[in-house]
Amino acid sequence: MPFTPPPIPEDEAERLADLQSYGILDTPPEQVFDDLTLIATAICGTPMSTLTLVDGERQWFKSRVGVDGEGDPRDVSFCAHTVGPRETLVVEDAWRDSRFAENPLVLGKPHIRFYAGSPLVTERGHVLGTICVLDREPRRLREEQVAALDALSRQAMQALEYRRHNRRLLELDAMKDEFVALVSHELRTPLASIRGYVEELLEQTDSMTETQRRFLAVVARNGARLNAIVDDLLLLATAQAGKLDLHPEQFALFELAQEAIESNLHLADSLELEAAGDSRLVVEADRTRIGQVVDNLVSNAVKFTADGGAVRVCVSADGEDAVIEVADTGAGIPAAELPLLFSPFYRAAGATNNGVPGTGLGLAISKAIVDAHAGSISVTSEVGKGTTFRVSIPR
Amino acid sequence: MSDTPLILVADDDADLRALVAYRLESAGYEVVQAVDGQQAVELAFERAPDVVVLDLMMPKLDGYEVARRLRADERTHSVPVLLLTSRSQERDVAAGFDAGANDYVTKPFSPAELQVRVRAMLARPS
Repeated sequence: MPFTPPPIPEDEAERLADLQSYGILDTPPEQVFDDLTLIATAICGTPMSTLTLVDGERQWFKSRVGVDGEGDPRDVSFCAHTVGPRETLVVEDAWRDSRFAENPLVLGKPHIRFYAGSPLVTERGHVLGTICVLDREPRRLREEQVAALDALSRQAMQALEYRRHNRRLLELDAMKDEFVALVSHELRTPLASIRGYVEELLEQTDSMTETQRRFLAVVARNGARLNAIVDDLLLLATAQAGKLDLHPEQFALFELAQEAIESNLHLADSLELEAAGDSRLVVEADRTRIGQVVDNLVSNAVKFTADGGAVRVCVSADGEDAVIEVADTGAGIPAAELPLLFSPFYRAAGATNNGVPGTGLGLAISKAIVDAHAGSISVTSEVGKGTTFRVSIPR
Repeated sequence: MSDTPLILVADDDADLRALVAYRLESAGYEVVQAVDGQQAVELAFERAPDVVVLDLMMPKLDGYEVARRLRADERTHSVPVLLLTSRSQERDVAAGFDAGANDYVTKPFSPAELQVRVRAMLARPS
C-alpha cells in the first residue's frame, strides 16, 4: 500500500451537515483567517500554513500561506486524518511515516516532509478541518508551539462561530422583512373589502332598522381599529428595522406643540391645554414623524388626565439638543411600570382597567421614531401628581 | 361604440374586484374584470379601456409588469392606470410610477375616493 487514505468517520453525514451550516466553503479570503495562518507560520517557523476545511470529497483552503491551489482530493489530505481522532496530528518526517511516505503531496508538490495540524472542533463535536503548518524539511515542534497551534485552532473556531451567528442574524432579519411585507399585503386586502363594503352599506342605511345601523357602526369602528393596528405594526417594524424614510426639514418645534394641542382639543373639553417655551427654536427633523410623536404624547396625556386637570407642552433648548416635554396632572404611573412603557403592546394597568382605547403601540412607535433621529425619549412620573414625557433630538 | 366609459378592473381578490366593479357600475361606467395580470393585459389589448384599475400584487404578472406592457403597446400606451397598492412605502409607490402608473390608492381605500380618482382620470386629456 503506497499510502493510507484518511478514514471516514462514522458520523460523516452529521459532520458534513455541520460543516455546511457554517456556509464557509468556496467563500473569498477573509482577513481574520489569513491573520491566523500568518501567525501559525510565525509561531512554528514554517514556510507554509493552511486553514483547511475537509469536505466530502476534497479539502479546501479558506486561507493559505506558501501553498498554491484551492485544495486537494480528500484521499491525499493530511488534515482529513484528524477528522476521526479529533486530535492534533504531528508528522515530523513524512518519509519515515508509512501512512504518508508515498502520498502524492509528499512525492510531488508541495513536497511535504513535516506536518502539524490542530483540528477545528465544533460545539457539536465534529471536526471541520484544521489549521496546520507544513515544511519541506523534517522538523520537531516544541511543546509550547503545539499548544499555540491548538490555541489558534480554537481562535479559528470562534471566528467561524461568530461568522455563522452573523449569517443567521442576517437571515432572520430578511425573514422579518419578508413577514412584514406579507402581513402588509395579506391583511390589507381583506381589510379593504371590509372597509369598502361597509362604506357602501352606510349609504343605504335608510332601509335598515335602528339595530342594524348600530351594529353596522360597530363593524365599521372595529374595521378601522384593525386597520390602525396593522398600520402601527408596519410602521413599528419599519422603524425598528432602521428603514423609516425620513424627510428632514427645518421648522420651529413649537408649531408641533400647538398642532398637537389643537388636534386633541375635541377630546379635552374640561382640561386646560397649553403650549409654552421657546417658540423660535428651530430643529432639522422629519416634521411629520416628530409631529406624530408629539401628538401621541399629548393624546396619551389627555386620555389619562381627569376633568379639571392640565396638559402642558413645553419646548426648550438643551445644549445641542432640542427638547419637547409633555407634562400632565393625571393619575401618574407606578415606578414599576415605567421601564415597560416603551415595549410594543404594553398597556398601562390604568388604561386596561379604565377602558382607555389604544393599540399599545404608540409609545413603542414614538421611541422608534425618536431613535431614528438619534434622539432619546424618557419619562418621569409620580402617582397622584402626574407624568412628564421628555423627547430630546439633535438640532 | 357607446359613449359609456369602459373601465378595466384587475384584482385577484374576488370580493375586492366585485366591490370596485359595483361602485364604478353604480356610477354609470361599463366595467370588465380581470382575475390576474395576464388576463388584464389580454383584455386591455382587446377592449381598449378608458381607465385601468390595477392591483399591484397579482399572480402570473404583477401590476408593475402589466403597467409596463400596457405602456409598451400602441393600443394601450396612453391609457390612464390607477394602482391599488397594499404597500404604502414610498419606494413601492415610486416603482409604480416608474412602471407607468398615473395615480394610486392605498388599501384599504374608500370606494368613493376611488370613484373620484377614476372620474378625474377620465376628464384628463390623454
